[in-house]
Amino acid sequence: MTGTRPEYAAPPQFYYNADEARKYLSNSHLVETQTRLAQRALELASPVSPPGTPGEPLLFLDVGCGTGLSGDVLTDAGHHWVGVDVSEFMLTVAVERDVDGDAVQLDMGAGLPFRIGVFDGAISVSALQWLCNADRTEHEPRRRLRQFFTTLYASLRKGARAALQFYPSGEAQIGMILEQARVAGFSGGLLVDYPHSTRAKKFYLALRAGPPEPGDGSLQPLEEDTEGNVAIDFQRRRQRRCRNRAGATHSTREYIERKKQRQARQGKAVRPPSKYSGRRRSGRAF
Amino acid sequence: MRLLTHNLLVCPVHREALRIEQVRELEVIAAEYRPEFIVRMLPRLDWGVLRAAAAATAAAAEAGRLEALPPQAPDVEAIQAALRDGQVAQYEGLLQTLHHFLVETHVITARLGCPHGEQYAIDGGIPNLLAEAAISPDAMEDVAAPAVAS
Repeated sequence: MTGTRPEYAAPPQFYYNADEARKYLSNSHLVETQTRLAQRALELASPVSPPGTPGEPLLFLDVGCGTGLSGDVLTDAGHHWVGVDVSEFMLTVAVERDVDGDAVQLDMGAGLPFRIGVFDGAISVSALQWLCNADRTEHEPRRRLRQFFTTLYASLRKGARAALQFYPSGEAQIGMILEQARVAGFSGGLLVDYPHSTRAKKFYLALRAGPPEPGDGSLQPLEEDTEGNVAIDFQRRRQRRCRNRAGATHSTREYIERKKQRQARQGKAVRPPSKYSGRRRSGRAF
Repeated sequence: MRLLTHNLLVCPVHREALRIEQVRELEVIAAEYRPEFIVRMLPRLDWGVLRAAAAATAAAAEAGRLEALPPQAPDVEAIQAALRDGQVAQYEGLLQTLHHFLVETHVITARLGCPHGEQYAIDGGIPNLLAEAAISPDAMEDVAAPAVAS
């Protein structure tokens, strides 16, 4: 994600307006990314030992369901889901798309209004970071996070898992989120996929409603190689950069002439080369 | 909003079950019948709330369906055991009825009412449970009047 973070632009119910919601229909890159994140979240939120027969339909909660792209992943996996979101426009698009789940408009920072122990799991794609903003004077991120996590914990069945993908703005924010999740009673922690890549790096809060389970150790972050992406050799790249600095290629005559030519081609005002170009200073005082 | 979702929801302020009121639009959308899902949901249902919701949404033609819902919650363990043994046939009628009400019945336009007086609108199938969208008991008179007239 480049540019300014959308959370800083406006509160979610205003940021995700009709135009923004339509992007989630037309922008194929966005759709693909959201779907992939949701698939991974579902993988992390699925019970380790399925209660009952494998492939049994479960009931999931989708926090910040938006236009229901992540819900489609749940539907494809044969599960039922209830999606909650604060943006009316996004939910309207979800209903227009005839998604299979139910959409409820609410503010997750005010708590999730569900009965105790009703969901088999919860997923969330790119929603949690919105809670860390105070969009109103009475908003206090820490309290809103706590309210969210305690009500999420209550609405999940004992031992159910939640996988919440989010875009943290920094270490402090991750710390705050983890602390509030722990206070609410969740075990688990942060899982970082593609930790060595700037672009593909993704943060998931992999939580379990209750004490940790032996199977939790099986959650492994994805590395570049597993997806078939080329792992970048950072050491070689750094060496190359170092050689450049040591070799000081910028002050050679060839380099200067090449650069002058290039800038002249670009239409910039360039002094014509002379016999003094690239020469060392004599060292004499003027 | 399906009746299943309604059954799981509570009032965000008082955390009490919500009544379905002023139903203006309903839709019944056929869905794949999966008895194992219904049985899985059974222990999580509030039977009283489900019966009230079914009564609020069932059309006159569906009186027969409504009667298929027993006044008391069925014995979940017996049904689970029956499902495991493949002896689910005796519960087939009940499970079909539950499937119809929980999964296939969608409330499109209505109100959700908390026993303490708050009301929440369901519009286009989306219940709005935002605190600022709640119709508080004091303001209800003013807001409810034009809604009924339209």
